[in-house]
Formats: sequence, structure tokens, C-alpha cells
Amino acid sequence: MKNLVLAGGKASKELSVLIPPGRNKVLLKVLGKPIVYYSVTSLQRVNRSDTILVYRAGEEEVYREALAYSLEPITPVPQERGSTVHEAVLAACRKLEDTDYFFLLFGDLIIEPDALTLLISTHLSEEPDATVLAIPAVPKHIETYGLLVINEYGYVEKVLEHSPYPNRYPVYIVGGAYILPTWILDLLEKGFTLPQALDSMARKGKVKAIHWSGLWIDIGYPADLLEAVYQLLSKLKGVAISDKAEVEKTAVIEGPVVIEEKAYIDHYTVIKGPAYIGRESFIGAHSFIREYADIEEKVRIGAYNEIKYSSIQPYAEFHSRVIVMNSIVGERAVLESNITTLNIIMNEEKAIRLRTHLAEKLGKEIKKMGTVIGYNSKIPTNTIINPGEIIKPNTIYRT
Amino acid sequence: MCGIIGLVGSSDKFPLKPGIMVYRGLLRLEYRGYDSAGVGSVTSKGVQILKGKGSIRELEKKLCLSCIDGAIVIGHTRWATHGAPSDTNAHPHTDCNNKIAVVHNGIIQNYQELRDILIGKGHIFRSETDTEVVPHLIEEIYRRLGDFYESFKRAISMLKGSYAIVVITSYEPDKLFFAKKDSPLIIGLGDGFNLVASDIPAILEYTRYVITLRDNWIGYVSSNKILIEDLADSRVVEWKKLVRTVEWSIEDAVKGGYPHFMMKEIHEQPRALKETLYGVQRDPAIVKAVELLARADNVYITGAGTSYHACYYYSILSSILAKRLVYSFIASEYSVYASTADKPDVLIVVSQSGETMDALKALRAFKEKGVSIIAVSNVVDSAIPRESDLAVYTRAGPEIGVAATKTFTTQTLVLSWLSIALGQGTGALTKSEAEYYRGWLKKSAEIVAKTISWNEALAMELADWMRKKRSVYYLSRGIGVPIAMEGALKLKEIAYIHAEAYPAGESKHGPIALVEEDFPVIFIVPEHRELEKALLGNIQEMKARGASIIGVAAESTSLSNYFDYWFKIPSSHWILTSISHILPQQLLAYYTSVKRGFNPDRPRNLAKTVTVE
Repeated sequence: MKNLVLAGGKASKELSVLIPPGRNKVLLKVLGKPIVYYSVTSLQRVNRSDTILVYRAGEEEVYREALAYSLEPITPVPQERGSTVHEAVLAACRKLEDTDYFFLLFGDLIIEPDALTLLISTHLSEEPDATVLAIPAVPKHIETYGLLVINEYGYVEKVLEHSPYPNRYPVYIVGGAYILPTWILDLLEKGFTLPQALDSMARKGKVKAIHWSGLWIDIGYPADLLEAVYQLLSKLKGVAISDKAEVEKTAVIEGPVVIEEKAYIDHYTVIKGPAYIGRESFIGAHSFIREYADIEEKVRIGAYNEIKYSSIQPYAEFHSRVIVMNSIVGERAVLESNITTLNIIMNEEKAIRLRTHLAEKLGKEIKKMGTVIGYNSKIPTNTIINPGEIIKPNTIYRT
Repeated sequence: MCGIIGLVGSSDKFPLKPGIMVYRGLLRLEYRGYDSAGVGSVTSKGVQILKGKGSIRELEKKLCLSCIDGAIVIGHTRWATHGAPSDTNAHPHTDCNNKIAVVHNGIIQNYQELRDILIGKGHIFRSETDTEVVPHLIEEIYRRLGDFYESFKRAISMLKGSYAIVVITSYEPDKLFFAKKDSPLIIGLGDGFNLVASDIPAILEYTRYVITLRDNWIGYVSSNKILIEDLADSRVVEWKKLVRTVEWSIEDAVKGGYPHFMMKEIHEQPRALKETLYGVQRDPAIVKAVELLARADNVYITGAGTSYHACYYYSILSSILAKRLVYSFIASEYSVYASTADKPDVLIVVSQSGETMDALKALRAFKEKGVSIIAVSNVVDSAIPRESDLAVYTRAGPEIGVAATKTFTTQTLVLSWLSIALGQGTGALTKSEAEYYRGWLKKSAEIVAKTISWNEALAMELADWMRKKRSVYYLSRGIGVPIAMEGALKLKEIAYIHAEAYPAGESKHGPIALVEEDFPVIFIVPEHRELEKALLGNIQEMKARGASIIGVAAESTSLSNYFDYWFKIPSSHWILTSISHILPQQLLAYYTSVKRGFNPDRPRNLAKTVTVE
């Protein structure tokens, strides 16, 4: 059974501010690795077979990065036309001719291999026509996902592209991982979308749903990227400092922390994990790196900065006295001095898919979302940025 | 559902003794059924069979299944849903001359017709199963053709229905013959031996190379040869390119697409309820049970753990619907109650496995006093039903997760049905009232499916908060109290969080002293106006002390403003409280356990069936 990874999807407009031209959202970094690393290697750990990677023509870096981490050979398929999932699958149809079934995974998923193990093992033991991953859906988030209606036997009854919340059967999010028969390509060629083709299979035959409630994040919106940082850092245990990293004597490092090679941690800096400090990054004196901070490679954090629950993409630069919380800072963005990102939001529309990890007191959750700062942007000195704001790339921010 | 396994090879190549390999394979298939089992082999003396009623482990003790000799062995494990399992109905089945042995999973629809023809030709049948026609049919054809494989193929082509069949014969003692249609069957390729089985876990200990057979495929395997043909066009199947390497573990494969058995079983509840309902509607034992209960002086009901909560629920229902006081007690405390019991009394014993030692001892103590016994169990012909005067069965199917889920809802469904029938039988309910209540029970599967749909992700979300708590109260009133007790038990046994259930009115007589800021209190609010009204005061008492209030209440409740978190139940009727209101509590316990990093299927210090005092 061949593997097919789709890595050419377009980003939502909220997320697109983080993606420079010629790049793709699957190249955004989480804990030192591009998102496509998580999908490709999870799949290959479970199904050691040929992997076909569909990416958008012109975004060859996706292929290069996937190959760099791949455990198996990768067959690249640049997608010239179309932007939908079924067009992406059809782009690979020639490479799928010699297989009965193929394992399809969306390249923007951060997922545990165990979910895919459950998928393949159930598929082989129950022998349905197709098998699909299903994620329990919190009603307030379902509007941004495709949905599955599953019957009491664990089989899919219907696939809904976007629908009001039906109340008869359990409803699940389509999990972006499937085992599909090659003949589904005929339906796609006839113009069916992937949900329509699955729906048609479910109504006529047997489409098995795999129930998964472990790590699964579909990176579609900025809040997903923060959730990925939160979930992956939550799994960290212990302190791992590279031999080639340099940590000054007066720095304090507490809790689960990873410090990669050639990173430099200056005097009197406090890193209170879980946190990740990427390769060749610089953390200036007296900075306070707090829980769920993901600082990627070659980031420069000056003196007296505070960072919490944020993703700082490569080459970003912080001067001094910058407070960044619940935010994403795009590649090569520059934050000058005395900048604060506010993070308590009143308007949830400003943060699609924002998870509210239940606060200590039930019923009193505080919803937090800071800023998404586009790549190559510059935030001038003495700026306060409102919560939920999305700053365009290549701009100089003005309040 | 049944499980089958077969093994053939060269004596010096098996990693273990073939009998042991088949026995261990059967244990892996136990999730497919475990009420009778058997093994067969071909030796120099002909076909040898060891089989009987009981679980695989029991039969191992009794018959030593793993001791069977031979380099070609088959095995079978069965789960009966209709009719009692017996020694003669257990597989393998043989022909008249004991030269052909067959194990089968599926249903042969035209077995009666074939059986009649074969009896007409002088064949002697020993069992009542559909499977037994297969060896006799092959025998009949073989008499004429003298070619075993050809006879096997012709016999299979005469069968209608679903089947996975594996056959051994002393006519060709080095081949394992197989056929598949609509029931699963795979081949496992070993080094110097080959296997055939219902499912991959049965063989995973011995090989990771597997061929998944398709419908209408037929053939045989020997120690060094595999032949697969398509029965539809007699085409030989090129099997080499179909061999897959299995990279996953045994457990992954049998959970039906769920990460844990418990989650699978929670989701199976609509089906289990439908099947149980189908059973009780037609079960003559219900009529007999009503007769016994109606003329009893005193009625007692007992069980252990979850089953006790079902008992307590029944005692409340019986008071409401049948105007009969029922003494419910925890099985291990039987001696207190048995001492006053007498001949005209009735004891209802509730046990999922039918083997719970405490319940069995209670049964025997009451029986000694001449008390009539009614069993409620999920396992046909297990010890408790066998020793009872009458048995009513739930049809929940095998429950593997140690924490009871579907067996609780099906037990309370059966007991609710019984109390309505008793109410009608004794005149406490009119026919139309009884029909009204039964009408609600008939909607239980639908309500459960809806309840799961509404609450699963909410339970997952709340578990993130609950996992940090050290203690929880579950409060309710009336019919909701046993459901609160069951919810607390679930959280305790799989998430290891201290949880206590009380009648809400009792909470102010002590338990409230522990309540402080953000202390979790789960209120089970039955869909009953009076109970709701009474619970309001208790909610306010808890809230005033800073408790976080989690409500399990119908969408129509007037209390929702008081809840910090609300598990919303589709509006139905209070008689469904045990079925609808337990669902969010099962889900919450499950997700809390998972988020705390535990395996909810294997709670520490607990066993599924407690056969010790």
C-alpha cells in the first residue's frame, strides 16, 4: 500500500501572513521541525512503503524539506493545476496505478503515529472499502471542518462538507487520514470532491471510521499552530541542552526545556519550561522565556524580553523590553523596543479554532489570543498591539 | 461471532508445540466469543477432537486443549446469542466416519435443506448447528469423487450464507483446507509452517507475513505450499504479491477502530440496547419472572459493583411502577438478608459474567432457604443462570473493558422492562400506562446515540480540568442516586480520582464539609419536575461554598443557569435516566483516565470477572 501525502494546500488568510512566497504552510516550524516532518514521518513509521508527495509547483522547498527528514524514498509530484484536495489526489493518479489501496494523509497534520497504526490495523482486520480517521468534534469548532456521521457499528453513514450540527448520530471531524481504494480515483475524475466520493462510498458500501482523541492538529489557522506548540511542549520531559549550546552561569533553566546546538543563553536569563530554544538562537540578558514558548532557529531575542505561549519563527528579531504572549511572530519579523502584545480577547471571531484549555475555575475561562505578525514585518518602538490582531507581511505596523 | 484458527507445518519447524500455538491463538480470539471452544487435529489414529462448553481457559483446565497432538491442528471459539452453548454444539464438527473436521464462522442459510437431504442419505447428525452439514456434505461428495479438494470445492459451492471455514481430514493429512465468504479469514506465512485464522492477532505471535483472503476464495495450505482459487471462475490467485507485513501490535487490531475497548463498548451501546430490547420483547422468561415476583412475599435483588447499581435502580423502579418494595443489597453482604429469607420469597441475581463469586454465594445461600432465583446475566448458561430457576439475558455481547459500560445500560433496560411487566401484571399499571413506559424504553438506543453525539467532545474538554482534581462528589435524588453511584464508580476505577456519590439531601449531613472553592460536584438531574425542584436547593448549597457545578440534565431543565458545565441530555422521560444520564459520566471517566495517562481498559487491582470472595 503506497503512501500519499498532500502538501500543496493553501493557507487560510489568517495563516498566510506567515508564509513567504514560494513556501507553504507545511514549512512553518514547530519545535525545530517543519510541519511536513510530523506528517511524513508519522505515516512512514506505520506504513514503510513508497511515499508520494504532492506539492504545489514552484514550492520545491516542500519536497526538499520532506526528503531531508524522510525515512523512505519519496516520489515528488508537483501539482501544476487546481487547488482542491481531489485535484491534488488526481495529480498523483499515475503513481497509484499499481496499488489496490493507498494511505492518504494531509501534510499539514500533526498527528501521533498511534492514530495511523489504529487506522491501518483496523483496515486490514475489518476489510472495509475505505477507512477514515474521525475526531470527536467540539460543537463550537466544527464549522471549519468536514464532518462525518458515524453509526453505532463504527461505520460512516454520511460525509458532510459543512453542515449544521446534526443531532441524531455522533458527529466527528474528518481527520485528514484515510486508506482508500484506488478505484476512488474514477469518482474523483468524474468530478466528485473527496468528501462527495467518500459519501458516495459510505452510502453504498462500508467506510470504517477510526475514533481518535489523542494528538491531532490540523494546521489551518494561527490558533492551530499555538495549539501544536502547546501539545508538543506538554509532552516534553526533562532538560536537554546540546553540548554545542552555550548557557551562561547565571542563567536559570527550569522545567522541561530543549536548547539546541549553537544556541546562546545570556546571563540572568530565566527559562521556565516547557519551552524550546532553536538552533543558533540568541537569548539576551535578563530575558524571561516562559511556558509554551517555541523559539525557532536563528531567532535573536535581545535583553529584558518576556515570551510566553508563542511561536517565534526563524530569523525573527526582538530588540529589548518586548512582551509577547499567545502570539506568532513570522519569519524575519523585527520587533523593536518597548512592545507589548495584549492577549485577552472579548471577540472570539478574532481567533478561529481557539482552544480554551479549561481554566482553574469552571465557567470562568479567559480566552487569550495575542498577535499574528506577518513575515518581514517591522513593529516600531513603543507599540501596543491589540489582541487578535493580524499584521500583514512586509509592512511597518502603524497603530 | 466466532473465532477460528488452523495450523499446519513440519514438526521440527514450529516455534512451539502446535497445540500450544493454537491454544494461544484462541486466547487472542477470545474477544470474538468465549462460551464454548474446541480443537481438532489429524494424527496417525485419525481425526482427534477436544471440545466443550465453557471459556477457553476453563476448557484448558478440563480437557487440556493445548495438549492435542499432530502437525495439523484447528481451533474454534464461539459466542452464542441464541440457545445455550453445549458440548455437542461446540466446534469442530465431524462427518459420520470421523475423518473430516470443520470449524466455521458465519451462518449457513440453507443448512436445514442440506441437512434433510443428507439425513435422507443416511448421515447421522450429532449437533443442532448449521456447521455440521459441512463435514457430512464433503463426506457425501467425497464418497463419489474420491478427490478431497474437488469434493470440498463442490460442497462449498452448495452453501448459501456467510462463512469462513477451515477443514482438516485424514484423507489428506498434510493440508488445511479453507473457504471464505462474508466472514473474515487470513493466511499467515511462517517459516516451515502456515496458519489460517479469523483475524491477524491470532497469528501475530508467530508471523508478521499475512494474506487477507477475499470473498469466494477457496484453497488449501500445507507446510510449504499455498493454493488459492477464486470459486467464481476457478482462477488461481497469484498470492505472492498479496503478502503484507504487519507492523502493528496484537491489541490494535481488535478494538474495532477505537483506541480502547472501553470506548468501543461505550459506542456499542445503541446496538446492545436494540439487541437486548429485541430479546426481552420475545423472552418467555419475563412472563415467568413476573409470575414468580407477583406471588412472592419478599423480593430481594443483589449484585456486585456496577451490577449492584442496576439492582438499586430496579428497587426504586419497582416501588414506583409496581408498588412493590424490593430489598436491594450488595452481594457480599448476603448473609444479613439470607437469614430472614424464606420459601415464598424471590431473589434476583444480577451478574454480567454470571460467574461473580459473591453473587453466586448469595444465590446459594438463598436457594438453601428454598427461595426462587431469577438470574440476569450477559453470558448464556454461565454459573449463575445455570443455578437459577429462571434466567433473563442481556444481549450486550462480549465486554472486554474492565469498567462495565454497555452491560450496565442493558441490565437496567432488562430490569426496567421487568418492572413495567410486573406493574402491569399486578395491576399497578394499566395496559396503556405500561405501553407508554415501554414506548420510552424502545427509544433508548436512539436517545443514547444522541447523548453520545452531544457530549463526547464536551467530556473530552472537561477531562482536561477534571484530571487535576483529587476528589469529586456525585449527587442526585430518587431514581438518579444509583446513576450517581455508577458515575462515581467509573471515575474511581479507571481515573483513580476519589469520587463519592450521595443522595443530594444527605450531602448536608457531612459531605458538604469537604466542599471548597472549585470542588467538583456532579449533579445527576433526572427528567422529573419534583426531583429537579428538590435538587435546586442542593445545587445552591454547593455553589454557595464555591463548588464547580457540573450538571447532567435534560435540554429542558430549568437548572441550566446554575451549571458551570452542562452535559445536555436529549429530552425523553425519567424512566430512561439509567441509560441516558450515565453516558456522559462514562465518557468523562474515560477521557479523564486517558488524560491522566492511564489505560482505561486495564485498571490497576481490578479484574473483569471476580471469581473470588
